[in-house]
Amino acid sequence: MARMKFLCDADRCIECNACTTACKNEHNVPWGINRRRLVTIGDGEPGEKSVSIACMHCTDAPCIAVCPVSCIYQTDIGVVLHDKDLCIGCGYCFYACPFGAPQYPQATNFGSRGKMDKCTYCAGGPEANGSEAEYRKYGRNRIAEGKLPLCAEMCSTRALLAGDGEIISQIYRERTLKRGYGSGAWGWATAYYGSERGS
Amino acid sequence: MAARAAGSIAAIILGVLLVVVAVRSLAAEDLVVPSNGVTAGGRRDSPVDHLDPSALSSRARLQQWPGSAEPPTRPSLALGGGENGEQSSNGKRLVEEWRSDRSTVQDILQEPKMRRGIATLPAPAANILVQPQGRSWRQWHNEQIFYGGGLYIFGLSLLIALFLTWRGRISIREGESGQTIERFSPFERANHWLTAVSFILMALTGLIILYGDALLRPWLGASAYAALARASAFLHVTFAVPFFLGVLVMIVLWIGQNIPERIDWQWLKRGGGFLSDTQENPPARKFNAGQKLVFWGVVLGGLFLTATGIGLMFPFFWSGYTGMQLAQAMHAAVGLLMIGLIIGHIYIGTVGMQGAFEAMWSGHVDRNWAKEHHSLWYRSAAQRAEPSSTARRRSYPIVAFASGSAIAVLFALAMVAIYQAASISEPELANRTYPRSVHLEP
Repeated sequence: MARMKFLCDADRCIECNACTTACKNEHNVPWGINRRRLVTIGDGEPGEKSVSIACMHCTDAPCIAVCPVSCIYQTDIGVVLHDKDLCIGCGYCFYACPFGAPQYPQATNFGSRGKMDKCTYCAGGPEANGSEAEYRKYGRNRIAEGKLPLCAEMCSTRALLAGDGEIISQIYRERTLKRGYGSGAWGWATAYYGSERGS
Repeated sequence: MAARAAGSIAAIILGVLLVVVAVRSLAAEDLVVPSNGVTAGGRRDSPVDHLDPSALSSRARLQQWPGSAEPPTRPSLALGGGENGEQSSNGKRLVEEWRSDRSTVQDILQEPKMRRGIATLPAPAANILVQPQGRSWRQWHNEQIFYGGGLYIFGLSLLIALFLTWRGRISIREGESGQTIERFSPFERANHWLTAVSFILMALTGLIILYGDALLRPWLGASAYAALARASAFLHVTFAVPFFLGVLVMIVLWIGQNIPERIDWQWLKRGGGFLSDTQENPPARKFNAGQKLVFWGVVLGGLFLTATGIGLMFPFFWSGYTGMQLAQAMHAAVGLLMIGLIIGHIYIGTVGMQGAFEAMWSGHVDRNWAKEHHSLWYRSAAQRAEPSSTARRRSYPIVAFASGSAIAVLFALAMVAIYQAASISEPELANRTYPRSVHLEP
């Protein structure tokens, strides 16, 4: 079965922030919650790179491992989702997440930071696929409609790739061969192979 | 004899628990596998159940340039909800499969390391692209602290049970004299119970947050356990305030009598006279070396837990990832250490020694107990106090306990009010978090 991944080709990303805007719009994400964001490395220096980052839907995901109420889960296509009804807002997933993906509606921890929110790979939540209850809590479920995450599908430079890991890594590799350079798959070593012991 | 029998039964039970934890810690494999929905009675969820398996793949090929892929197959079911999936039975095999392609993508992998940049967002830590150390924190949280805490608490309790089996209850050698002397004032006792009630509540709620997912959730179910965990987190935070207050008052009341001295070393070398009935007890002032250790453990541990706890209440206010991860791990580790210390304290103050509980309960101890365990203090206190056998009855022990507990609850309630005022209300939060209107396409 296909294993869903994100890959950002930093040599193509032009820091236009369209992916973050598309995400906000598609899922009606409120103020202060940033499911996807852009980080610019070496800003203003030669070799500056911008990378679009969100939940990478890790293999052996650390957020799932540390959640004290086990409200986060992974599906067979590798997508990491969560049940907001169970979340207690403790913030542990943010300490464990290598990519700063979990978001909270409250800044401080007076008992709780509210219900955690994060990138769902446009795959909604535990409610029935495409239902209004699912949309209200998690945003649109494009995967159930046979579509890939909107951030990648609408990327104007095709920097952000989404879909089966084998296919997108092949696309990326063909590109770098053709143009002769590439800075690599940002975050992949940590996200998809990071917890492999002894390597 | 009854005490020794109870000690041996407890030792057997604790020994079994210790072995169970040790075996589980050795066999533990902290691996996350796909479960297609939350476990323990949650909803099943698989977003691709009704899809043609090739639909997403052909869609992914559209990202190739020039677009050479065939048009994607239409999903058999669009909007409106498909059947939710069943738990994957071969999750571990899937994870192995996901990892097995490592060699084929080796050429595009980067060195996993902390990468910082700039971000235009005002959110904390938004400028950090990757922090691989999150995985190390996870390992500490799930393995070292998780199993270390279990081994430590059960191991320490086993040692205490074995000591009880071997030594029995430490009795007053000369028997009760029937005459008492005041050891702790009502104010000291009320403050002790204020701190004790707050600490025990925080210890229990802290243990629920650390171990409840593994121990309680399978029995309670996902929703009931989530409600319990939410209540625990809230109680943990609210009772921190009376606890901190109690520790502060304790410092003021008792620090002068808890300065380490030369005779403490003598006391420790002779095991406090706990080891045998025949040996003369080493001399001690109001607090012996063991009590001084408990005092400093509670004061230093309590202050440390308060400091790290405040840090955790305001995440990323004072520190970045490393600080938050360290604060959480140290908070859990020191909390567990303190729980062990207090288990020992409760043991020697109740079951372990005849006459010790009265000191904190009624405030009046038997004169023979005082003579045997705190000879130096007794000598000076006896000169000041009138002999009295009725003082214990007149001291209304329940009043000190109840007032201490009541103050703890009052402070906790006051903190609830402050938290409520400071945090965003639920309905307002719902409006901020979730969209007011929904526009679903038909």
